Amino acid sequence: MSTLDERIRSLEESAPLPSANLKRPFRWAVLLGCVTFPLIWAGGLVTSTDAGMAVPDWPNTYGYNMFSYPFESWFFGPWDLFIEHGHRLLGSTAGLVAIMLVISTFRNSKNACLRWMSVFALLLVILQGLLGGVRVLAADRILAMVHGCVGPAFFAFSAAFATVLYQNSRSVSAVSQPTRRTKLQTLTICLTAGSFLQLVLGANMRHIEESASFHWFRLLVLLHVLFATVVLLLTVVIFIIRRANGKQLESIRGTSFLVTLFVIAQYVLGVGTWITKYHWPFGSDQFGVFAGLLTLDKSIVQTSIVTGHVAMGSLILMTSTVMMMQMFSWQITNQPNKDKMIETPTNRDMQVSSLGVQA
Amino acid sequence: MMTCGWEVKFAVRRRKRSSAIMKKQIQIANIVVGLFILTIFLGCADKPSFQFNAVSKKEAENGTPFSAEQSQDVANILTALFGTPDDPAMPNVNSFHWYLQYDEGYAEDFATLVDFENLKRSAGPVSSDENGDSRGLYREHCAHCHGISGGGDGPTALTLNPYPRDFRHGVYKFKSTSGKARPTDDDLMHIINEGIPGTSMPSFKVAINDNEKKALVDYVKYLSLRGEIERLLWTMTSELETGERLPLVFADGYDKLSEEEKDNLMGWFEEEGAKVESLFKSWLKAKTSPNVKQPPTAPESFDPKHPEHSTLIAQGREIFHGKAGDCKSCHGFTGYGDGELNNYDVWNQWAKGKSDDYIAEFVNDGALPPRTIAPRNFRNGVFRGGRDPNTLYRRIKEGIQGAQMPNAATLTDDQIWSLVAYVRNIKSEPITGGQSHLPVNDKPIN
Ligand code: HEC
Ligand code: HEC
Repeated sequence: MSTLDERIRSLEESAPLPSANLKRPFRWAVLLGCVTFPLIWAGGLVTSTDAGMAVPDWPNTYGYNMFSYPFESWFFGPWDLFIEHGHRLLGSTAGLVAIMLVISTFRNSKNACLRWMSVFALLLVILQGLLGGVRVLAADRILAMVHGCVGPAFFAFSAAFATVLYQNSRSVSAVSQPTRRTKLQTLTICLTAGSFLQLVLGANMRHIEESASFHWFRLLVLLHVLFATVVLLLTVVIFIIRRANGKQLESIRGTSFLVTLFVIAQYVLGVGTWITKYHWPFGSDQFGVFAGLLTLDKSIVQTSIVTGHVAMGSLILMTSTVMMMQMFSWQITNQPNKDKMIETPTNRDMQVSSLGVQA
Repeated sequence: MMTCGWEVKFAVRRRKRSSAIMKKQIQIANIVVGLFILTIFLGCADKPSFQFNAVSKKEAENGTPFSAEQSQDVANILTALFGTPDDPAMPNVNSFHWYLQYDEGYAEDFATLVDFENLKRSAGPVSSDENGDSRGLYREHCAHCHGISGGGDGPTALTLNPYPRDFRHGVYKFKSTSGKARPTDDDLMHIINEGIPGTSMPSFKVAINDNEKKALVDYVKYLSLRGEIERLLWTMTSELETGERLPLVFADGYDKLSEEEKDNLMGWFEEEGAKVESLFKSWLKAKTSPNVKQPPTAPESFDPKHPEHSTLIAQGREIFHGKAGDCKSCHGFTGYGDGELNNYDVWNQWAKGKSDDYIAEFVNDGALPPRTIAPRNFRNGVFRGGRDPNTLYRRIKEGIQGAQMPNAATLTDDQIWSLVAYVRNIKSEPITGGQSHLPVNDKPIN
């Protein structure tokens, strides 16, 4: 262990870029996230209302260029056409914002990593658009599923990028780092992985092939429930650790609270989704509450709960990704040769010293 | 140093772990990516095609499997008659005109059994056009439960209770026709509209419009008829000598047959035709002249405000528990539906009295694990087929097909009305009078 002096010196060396200018790309990244979320809702609606194939061609809409498709036939057309075409328009908006993000990042930073991240976001949004398009042309369920998984992944990525930009647009001392990180970091990584796995499992159930075997579907259901429980436990454990450590884990205070809230809500929504779609699974005769329950297909209640469950899934993925990112420091050094992101474990010492506590 | 319980533990382990942590993270990432790819690829299924009825095939085989050709013959005949899930055919409508010769009188009518346009709308993959007209209705709304072949074995089936209906028996529970008669179009329409409360069969009142529902009614009938003929073909195959084949072998559909082959086919159907014909006829009858009996008017005391109403209920109670009705033997002394718990319905009948090994073989071949049938629990006050007096009268009078509930052949009209009054009242009847109950329900008896 080095002395406090040494560590402070090393800190000075790796002090961040003066980077108030990163606030701009940060804002674009946040905007991108804000556009992506309703996009995921709309995407969820496309599936819950089976609107996916309401427009058979792509990138055109019934032969029109997407942007010149007559407003009246879209806005006042059949509901599934409205949803599907609206989804396409929203998607294009996200693409435009992603382009702005790239431009803004390139203008405000010379850092290769940041630049690559912004380009990656743009590529992802393009890939997602193509996937959606090919899914329509090939009327393919597997593609629909991948499309459904890349969407939230993209959402999470833009939030992660925003976190990186945020950290770099502030001075180090503003980012308080946890004192003992390793275990908690692993937990947050597991949580992010777990919530993504849940999304994949969910998409598999949602887009289940009609000819798939019932054993396979049941396996998916059991896994989905199992990992739901794992994710719930993880969030609760993280929440408890964070509370117990008070100030030192201040940076994830908000995200850990939110993610716990979301996961609990998600659990309830999941049960609701099952019941409004498939009724009570153990027979209703011995469970009086459900005896008279009639599921009304595509009712407002059913559609909102199911879409809510889907959207909440990506919200959880996004929040847990941000929390995971917050558990690390993504400061960029200003040393010319090391113009790349490094993890700076020394931050915690900064805090310790600023608190005036001897290590 | 400021620490707490968690912190201490972390601090101790931290150094040991820090080198391993990177590896761990990579491991986790690998597992996630692996699972992702696995789920995607395992989830792939073939293009939907009709599947054999595993249960009726295996039952017909009775231990000695049919040869590959024999099975292929059945598949070919069915494809020739009914087409594929993407490209349906209806024998009498399209290509199949043996009936013209076999039975002049019916030929015309058979064409009206189902509307071919309706079949085409219901079949195939899901899509819709600019006017909002949808195609692939069955796959969009029904197949994930009822299965591509209508075997009640869609992907969700195993997680539902009761299982979705297997259409291939042509047997339906909640209908207005008598006895074994097929349901009318209105009956099927009613089910699609109202759903079945207490089960996962949804109401499609808001999900689809009336024309689409009509199309689905026809498709359900199509799947039923196809399934019934398939079951018949397996029975016919089981009657063949070893190595012998059904006397018609063609792969590309009726239209592509040579004249000689057509003659062969016709000849064969003329021998076996009566059996096939009776299946057609029973569906046609349910459509054109269904055997729907209007229930007699209820006695005045059926009105709950009538002073004699409690007498009527008491009479129903007696019949329910007595020899005459003997409803209690299935529905239980207290009406909890716990009287008979080990019976199998028509769709699971194959498992009755069979060994676990026998059952496991069927399940291996694609059958749903068999379940026993649950008689209705009247204490919930829910009637899945509808609780209005006329419907309940019919239900008790005719019994419930498939569910093994017998018809009330020996009871008079008034007795049946008293039963209707009684079963509607059980919900609010106190559990008294030294009634015993069976182990399944743990509710105390006062
Ligand atoms: C969520 C699963 C599910 C879906 C979707 C579903 N069903 Fe069902 N259906 C069931 C179940 C379960 C039953 C059996 C209920 C019982 O045995 O009491 C059933 C029974 C039926 C019956 C038989 C009723 C009787 O009287 O015996 C018909 C007909 C039927 N469904 C038609 C359809 C059609 C047509 C569609 C599509 C528009 C459809 N179902 C969609 C689950 C479903
Ligand atoms: C052999 C057993 C058996 C007997 C005897 C029997 N039932 Fe049932 N009953 C059943 C079963 C099984 C069901 C559940 C059917 C289903 O799956 O929905 C049922 C359901 C019912 C229903 C509910 C229909 C609905 O719409 O939900 C009524 C009412 C009913 N029985 C009345 C009677 C009456 C009255 C008697 C005596 C005359 C009687 N049952 C005798 C087996 C029986």
